[in-house]
Amino acid sequence: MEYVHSVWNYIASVCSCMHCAEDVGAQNIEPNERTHLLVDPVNHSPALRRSNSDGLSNDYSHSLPKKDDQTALSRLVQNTAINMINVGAMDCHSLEHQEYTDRIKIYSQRLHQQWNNVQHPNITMKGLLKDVPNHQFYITKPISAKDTLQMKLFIEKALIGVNQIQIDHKEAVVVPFQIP
Amino acid sequence: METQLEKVLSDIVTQQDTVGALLANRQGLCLGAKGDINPNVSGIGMAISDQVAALEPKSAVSAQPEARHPTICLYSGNRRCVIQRNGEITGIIYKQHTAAPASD
Repeated sequence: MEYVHSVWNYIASVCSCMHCAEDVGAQNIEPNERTHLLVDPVNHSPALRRSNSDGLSNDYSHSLPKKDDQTALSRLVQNTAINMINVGAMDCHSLEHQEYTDRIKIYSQRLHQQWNNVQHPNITMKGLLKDVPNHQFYITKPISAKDTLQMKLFIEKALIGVNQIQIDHKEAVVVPFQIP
Repeated sequence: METQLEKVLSDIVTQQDTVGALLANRQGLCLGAKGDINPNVSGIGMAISDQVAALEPKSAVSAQPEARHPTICLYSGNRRCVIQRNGEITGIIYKQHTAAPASD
């Protein structure tokens, strides 16, 4: 039992050390857009701590033949605890409203800066006559009704003319070969 | 054979301001030309009408014949070139601006 206690103390000290390191890190590094919202959620989750102690007590308080089963079970519990994120238990990340708005401002500013730095190759001049000098003059020029009417009549008459084209053959079209 | 076509072309070049007329087939080959126009432009004219028709693909299935066969007018100095395609054939008319510009 003495051994168990020593192990447990060691684990607890490690955990607390990690907590310390985390806290120091969280305080020193100013939060930015790359800061995780949930700082190491696994260690904050009370379920894991519980499972740790469960695992330890289970490992040593049960008989030997059942040890494999117990370790398997405790591993299962531990894995579940690792996958679980207890958001409610973490109250150290509640941001003030002012802080929220400040961050929104900073991030949108940075986004704008990046957006301006990016080269946008897809934005090109739209319009057929943008490169033509004095294109406004030509755009405002109307197509006169006379022209379209003349063209319409021309095309209609020409279609009739084209349809009347036929070959007047004076000789035989199919010529028999001189096959001996 | 093509007398009717010849007559149509001759008629068109006698009209006011018209200096030349040309007809091209679907392949852009010249079916006939009259007046001051190079028969070699038949292919270009056909290609232009093709490209312009592609600008508004929806109008190709439109019920209105004006929408189906767009008329293209190219201005250049005192001349203008009118192009229209009607199914199989494309017509090109060269016109010269002589009198004062008409308001329409």
